Amino acid sequence: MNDRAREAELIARAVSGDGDAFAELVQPFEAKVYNLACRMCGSREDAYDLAQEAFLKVYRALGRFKGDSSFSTWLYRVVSNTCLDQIRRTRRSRAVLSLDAPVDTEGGSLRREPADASFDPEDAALRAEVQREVRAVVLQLAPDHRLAIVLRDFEDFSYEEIADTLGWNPGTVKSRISRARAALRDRLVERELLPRPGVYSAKGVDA
Amino acid sequence: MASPRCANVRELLSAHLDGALDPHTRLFIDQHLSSCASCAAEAESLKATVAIAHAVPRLELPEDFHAALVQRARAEAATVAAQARHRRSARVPGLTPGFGAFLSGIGGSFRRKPWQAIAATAAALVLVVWTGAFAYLMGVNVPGFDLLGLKKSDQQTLIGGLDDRATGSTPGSEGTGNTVGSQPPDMTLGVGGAGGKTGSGATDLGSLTQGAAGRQFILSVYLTIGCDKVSVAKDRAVALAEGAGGFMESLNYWTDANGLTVASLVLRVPATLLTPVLKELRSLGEIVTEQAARADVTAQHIDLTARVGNLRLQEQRLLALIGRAENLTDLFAIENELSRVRTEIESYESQLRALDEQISLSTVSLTLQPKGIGLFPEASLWQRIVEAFMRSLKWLGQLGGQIVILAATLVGPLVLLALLGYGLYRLVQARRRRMGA
Repeated sequence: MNDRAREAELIARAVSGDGDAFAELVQPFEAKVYNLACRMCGSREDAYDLAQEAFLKVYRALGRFKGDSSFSTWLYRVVSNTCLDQIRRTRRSRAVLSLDAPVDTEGGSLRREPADASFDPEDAALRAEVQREVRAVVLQLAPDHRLAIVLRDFEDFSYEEIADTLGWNPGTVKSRISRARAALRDRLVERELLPRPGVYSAKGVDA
Repeated sequence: MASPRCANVRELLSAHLDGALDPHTRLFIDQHLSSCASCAAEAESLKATVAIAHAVPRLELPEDFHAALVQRARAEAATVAAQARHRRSARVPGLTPGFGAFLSGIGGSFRRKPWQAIAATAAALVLVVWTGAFAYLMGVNVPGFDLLGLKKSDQQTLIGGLDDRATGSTPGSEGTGNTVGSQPPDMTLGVGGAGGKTGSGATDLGSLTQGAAGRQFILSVYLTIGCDKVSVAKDRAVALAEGAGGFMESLNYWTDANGLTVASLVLRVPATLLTPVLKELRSLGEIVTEQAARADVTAQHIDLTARVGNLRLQEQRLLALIGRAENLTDLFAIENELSRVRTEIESYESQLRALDEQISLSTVSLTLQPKGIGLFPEASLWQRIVEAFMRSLKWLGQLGGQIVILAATLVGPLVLLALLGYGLYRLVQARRRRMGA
């Protein structure tokens, strides 16, 4: 409650032209927004600029924030739309990573993951090649699907929060996340970074 | 993928993994997974994918990010402020040139004749002070002032003659579904000190609590009691409510500017025990005012119950449909509709619960004050003088108000007349000058 009051005060001050109040208001969101921008546009330099730009948009639009939703929901709406705009603008001019591009192994040999029940996703996630693949696949998704999986699986939004933030209906949120995850899974399996479904099924049933 | 059912299930696996599906859809999927090895394997694989995505480490925010943002925000604030200044300075003359000219015209005439400006300012000041004093006298309660002229017996409020009103108008409309015919009007009973009703102080709320059979009421009682020791009476009142199975909803306990301690409580008492509790509460001291009101919410209650019933039926139909969905679009549509219906049911049910709570628990707003506030049975000579003076002030205030209203009514026509007269005067002057030339 106290945080809410503080937030409202900072918003009022920022709207009346206090830039420092605005910086304080959005500081808790900086890291998350920067990460979101990174996942959405792929390069750290671009993400830096994109995140800064998104925050300035938030600042310019702050006078229109009426408190219909929570401030964070509203902020992510503006940020998400900024990211989508940016992606749509640069999509044509920039070479998109091809799904068929060979994996860059950096001199090392590509480790083959044994297809057995001892597969540990958390270990896998720590491997640089897995992270690279995850990032690459996300970048190849259509902007809406990309945003859905980034918010859900990287930024840990709930389905409701995504629906509120982006103004999508719940079914759209579910199906976009589902599509994005399926694409990610297929790609990881294709690169043999994830066991093929069926081989290691919990029930021990063969494919 | 064995069947169309498998295709449907796989599409829902992702949401199932996050527990984002409706409970019945969830059950449907669980059942399918336990019997279909291929879909179960698919679910495991998806789970691993999501776990990987979740475990991908986050990036550190570059160190200079915040500093850069502060810089840009300040620059933006400066730009916005400059634009705002620009807009403001551009707007005033642009928007209302006529009005601006009018103002400067008045200013000009005042510069030529300073005494006019002084007189106008003085008149405005008088008006403001007058209005302020008037508002103060009318709006602000001078302590004890309103009650000065009243005798104690006038202030006791009686609740009577209720039975006939309550029972006289009860249409037998229960259980007729959504439509409910005319209903007894909500009523407010007893107004403290206004009607000048005299009689025995015994107040019977029996008629209030029982009312007409089968109807549902929200009962509220407002009670002000003068007592010897407010702190003791306050504790006693809370104990009474709790003893009856009710509770204290809020308590304000303060000492006002005159050193008088006052307690204002809101008690919730089971409607069935309202009468005995009120009786006890009244015995805490002398009743200053008492009001009771009851609102008939029968129709609202029936309506809410019917809505919940209809939605439950709809829910059953949707559940039956989910197993028969032909394709993905249908499945998602049904799933969506189901969760919408559930949300609505929950919303109506919580309204119903709130209503039931209000019906079963009556609200007693109790004010406890020291004995004798506002009651001067044996006013001294000095008090009478003060009283008379206050009355005269009030009368003056009212008179002033009337005059102000009259003046306000006349302002429009007078200004118009003055303008017309001035125009005519100038016209005549000009003609005379021309004739003279």
